[in-house]
Amino acid sequence: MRNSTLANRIGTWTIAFVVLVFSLMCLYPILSALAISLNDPDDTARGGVTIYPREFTFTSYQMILSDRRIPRAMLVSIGRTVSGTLVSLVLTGLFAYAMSKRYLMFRNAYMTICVIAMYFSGGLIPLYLLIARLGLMNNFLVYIIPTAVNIFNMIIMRTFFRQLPEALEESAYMDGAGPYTIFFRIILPVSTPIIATISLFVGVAQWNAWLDAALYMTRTQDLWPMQNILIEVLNTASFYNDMLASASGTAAEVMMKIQRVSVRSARMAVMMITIVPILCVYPFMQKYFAKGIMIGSLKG
Amino acid sequence: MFRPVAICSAWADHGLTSMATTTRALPRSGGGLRLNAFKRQLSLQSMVLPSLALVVVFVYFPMYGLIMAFQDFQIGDVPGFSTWVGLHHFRVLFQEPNLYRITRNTIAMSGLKLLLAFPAPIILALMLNELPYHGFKRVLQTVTYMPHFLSWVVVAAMMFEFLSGDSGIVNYMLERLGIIDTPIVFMGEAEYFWPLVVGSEIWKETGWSAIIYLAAISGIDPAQYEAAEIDGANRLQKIWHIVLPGIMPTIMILFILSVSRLLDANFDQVMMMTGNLNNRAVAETADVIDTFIFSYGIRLGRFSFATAATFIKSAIGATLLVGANQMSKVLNQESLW
Repeated sequence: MRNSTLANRIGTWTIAFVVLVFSLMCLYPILSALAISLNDPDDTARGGVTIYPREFTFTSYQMILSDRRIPRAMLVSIGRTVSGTLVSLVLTGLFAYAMSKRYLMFRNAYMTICVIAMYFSGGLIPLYLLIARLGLMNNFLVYIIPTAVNIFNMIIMRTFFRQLPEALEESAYMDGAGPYTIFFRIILPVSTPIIATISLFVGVAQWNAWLDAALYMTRTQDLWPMQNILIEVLNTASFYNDMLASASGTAAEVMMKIQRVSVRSARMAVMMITIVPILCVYPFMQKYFAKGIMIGSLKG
Repeated sequence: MFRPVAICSAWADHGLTSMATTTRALPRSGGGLRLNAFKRQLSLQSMVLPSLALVVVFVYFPMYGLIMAFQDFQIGDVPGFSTWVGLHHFRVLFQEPNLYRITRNTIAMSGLKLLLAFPAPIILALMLNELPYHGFKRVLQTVTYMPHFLSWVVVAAMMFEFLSGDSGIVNYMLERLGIIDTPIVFMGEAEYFWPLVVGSEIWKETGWSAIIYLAAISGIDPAQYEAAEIDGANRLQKIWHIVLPGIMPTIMILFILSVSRLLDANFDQVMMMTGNLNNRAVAETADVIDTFIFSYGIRLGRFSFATAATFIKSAIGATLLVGANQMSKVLNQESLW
């Protein structure tokens, strides 16, 4: 890049252009969804809204927020993300810290158990039956306990703890501090990058999860997170839009169709509410997770 | 001044090594000593046990539950203690008329992803690496991996909106440009399902997967570039002879893992793009092994039958993992073990 011949500079510009186009393709759907959610619902039905609202209004947001299921689902989503991340961090962190000590007895046996668990699983059905048997159906804990320990995250954390200088722990060890004190008082405060990375992984997985609620929250929708509400919103009265669109029909059918089309703005509003928390958080984690992934990609 | 520190660290080193030696020497000594050593690190061991217990309960119990593939499990049975039926469920499975279709769909989707979605992040990483402006590069990167953080629920919601046959923006534009006369119902026709699966996968994961390749690129010794420049290598030659060989181990590892997941068509993605399997119009190309297991196991309650399908699938997956790893070894490339 230092010897900028003409061919080189043209090459750089071409590459920059291609990458820019790809980034715009990544960005466009979000902007467009935002525009549609802020557009007048009846106007949206006419089609052709791009990345700015033609007739700006908060109607859709007012409409969906007046449905009491939505604030409730938001609380469930936030609750499972915060508590799930905390529980997972503490459990996985303690596990990883102990595993980072070479003098831990049975360390190799534990590791073998973990590696097998990473590559093999019993699949959906046995887990479903187990959870039913444990009485975790229709129980908030089903969001948190089964996924609390992630082996992959444990290995990343262990790799990080191992590269911390041993001198860090020595004086505390001298003062007779136990491993818990050392972990919480000394190790955690210097582990910000890895904590941020793992929190992001676990937090995003928690926020985006929908299958557990669909499988295990059978009796009531009160404990449904936002994702499942979004699925519901997509499916009810809207899913067969496409089929209706291609079929001509009676006046009544067309009326019904128009009604259905008007919920498009509302659907995009629910979707925007679902993704806003994530879009607000992830850019700030950027400097950490690149490093975290790098640690994770190392073998062993 | 610094002597105390040195003494401390020597002492601590001694402490740690002596502990390590005791542990290592244990197999030769009696059980009592071993128990004592375990007691001495009891609080360290207590950090392991809760997590290990969870792994055993939520991973190993279900693995044991696979035994029901050879039994006739009924609701209320203690897993593993139902009536044995031998290979009955496997025989039924291999007579299943949809078996060919779901296997074909699964392999087609995974294969197309391997062919098109796997190289995409490598290309993106190579391109990002060629860009000189740091700030510009970082902004582009932030934007390209944003879709990774969205759930498939959200991505499918957007696809239904933008690809809708009912004045979705894609049809609107295509009609305006005169490319089509009547709207295409993209999400409702079987022939578009595979392209949309691969396309949405590329859209969602390319930027994120590029991070790992960029990390690998940044690990390449800069002296290599300098040497190449002295030799008069141009940009493409540098990419071909330095960057690509430099990230080859990473590519191979990820390739092995991708091949081993050939029978895992993305369950979340397929479920959401078919509206929880309610859109039967695309079933011909959309039904995959995992949705088959879900439909029969959870929706129809045929637990043993669905578990038999899981069993076969896991066995093939394990074979693929070992096979791909072995092949990589033979080709003198990186391997998982």
